[in-house]
Amino acid sequence: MLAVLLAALESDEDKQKFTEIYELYHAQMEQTAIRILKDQHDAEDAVQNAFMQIIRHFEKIYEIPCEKLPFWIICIVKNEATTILRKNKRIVQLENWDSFTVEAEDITDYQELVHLFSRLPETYRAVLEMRILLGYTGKEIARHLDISESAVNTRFFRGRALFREIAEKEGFHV
Amino acid sequence: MTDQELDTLMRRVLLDSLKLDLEGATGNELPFEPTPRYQRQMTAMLADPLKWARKRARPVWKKAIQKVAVILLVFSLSLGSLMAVSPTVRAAVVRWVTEWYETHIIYRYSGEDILGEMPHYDISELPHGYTEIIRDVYAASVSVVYESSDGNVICFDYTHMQQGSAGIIVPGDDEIIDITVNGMRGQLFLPNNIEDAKTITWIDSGSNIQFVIKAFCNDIDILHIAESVCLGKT
Repeated sequence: MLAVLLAALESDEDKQKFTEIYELYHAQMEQTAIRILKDQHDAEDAVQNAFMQIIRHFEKIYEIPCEKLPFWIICIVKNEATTILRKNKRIVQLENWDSFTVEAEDITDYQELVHLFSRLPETYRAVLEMRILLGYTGKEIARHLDISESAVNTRFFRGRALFREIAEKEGFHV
Repeated sequence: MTDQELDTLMRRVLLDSLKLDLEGATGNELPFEPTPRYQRQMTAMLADPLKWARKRARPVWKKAIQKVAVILLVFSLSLGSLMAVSPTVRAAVVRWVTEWYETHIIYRYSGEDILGEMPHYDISELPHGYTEIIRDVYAASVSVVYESSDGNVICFDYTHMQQGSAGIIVPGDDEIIDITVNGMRGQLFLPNNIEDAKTITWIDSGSNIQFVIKAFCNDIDILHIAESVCLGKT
């Protein structure tokens, strides 16, 4: 299975691209990981897990616009770090979706929308990022976040429905 | 708005949220100081991403030893007084106590702390094709993993028997046989399924070290591997 997934990285061009990505972004990835985890060993694990994901989903690299690539990569390492953090904590914080949706009522412009989504409850944001940005399956997300697949779906549909409501109400367009 | 348009817009918002996070970073975070092991890993990854990914995606040596889980822990001896011990075997010179429980065996140490670094032991007679791929050196223990070209592994751990630490072996329903390794007493753990990993442990009271090896091989071979352990290059 892995062999199939990795087929994208067989060519010299892909390998060169991968090396470029490492050289350009590894420092930022490492900083992101240590900022979240505050532990060298865990941060190293998170960065290596992130590179595993980049290798597994390497074909997506060519679909991401260049200017967005650093954020796509940071998204991966952030979520790998969060996964480790959740496993280490062994405590699941309650996430209050209802009070979050109240905040959403005041959104009037794009920047506020971006700010709102940067404050999404942790697992909601992680689910949306993993599904929409990284293209993970429900099963993969469930495994990463240590929640059930139905909990993943609930978060995805709620997040998407809220987004649609705001976008349509305020007339945001692509 | 179509679903596709919605997803495109969401993608943009999520990416801009990540950009916002990065802009909000204070720059006062802990420095990332890569360990030598991490640097080695990154070098291997860049040299051959596919090989590195395959190796990392296949933690065979972790999965394989689930049957005979060997856990080396460091914990306070004060917990020991709370535990029932039956039967207790005391070594002639009491630097360890072997406690046999229904589900596990604890080798509880009480020796002096190690002075200096852990010695460098190797398996001198590895089966054909095995090479050392991991050597984690801690203050009072060392973990080594050897891997063959076809992905089989041998795990070799050794621990200095100093007060406040202990080794635990969880043998499940394995048959346990008393053995000697170069004249030193130990145990061999044989799983019911001959294809599962076998574990051997023995204590070298001269150097005050407990050794544990886990490998996929027959009982004769694992004994032979154990007997070939010797001090190597430092």
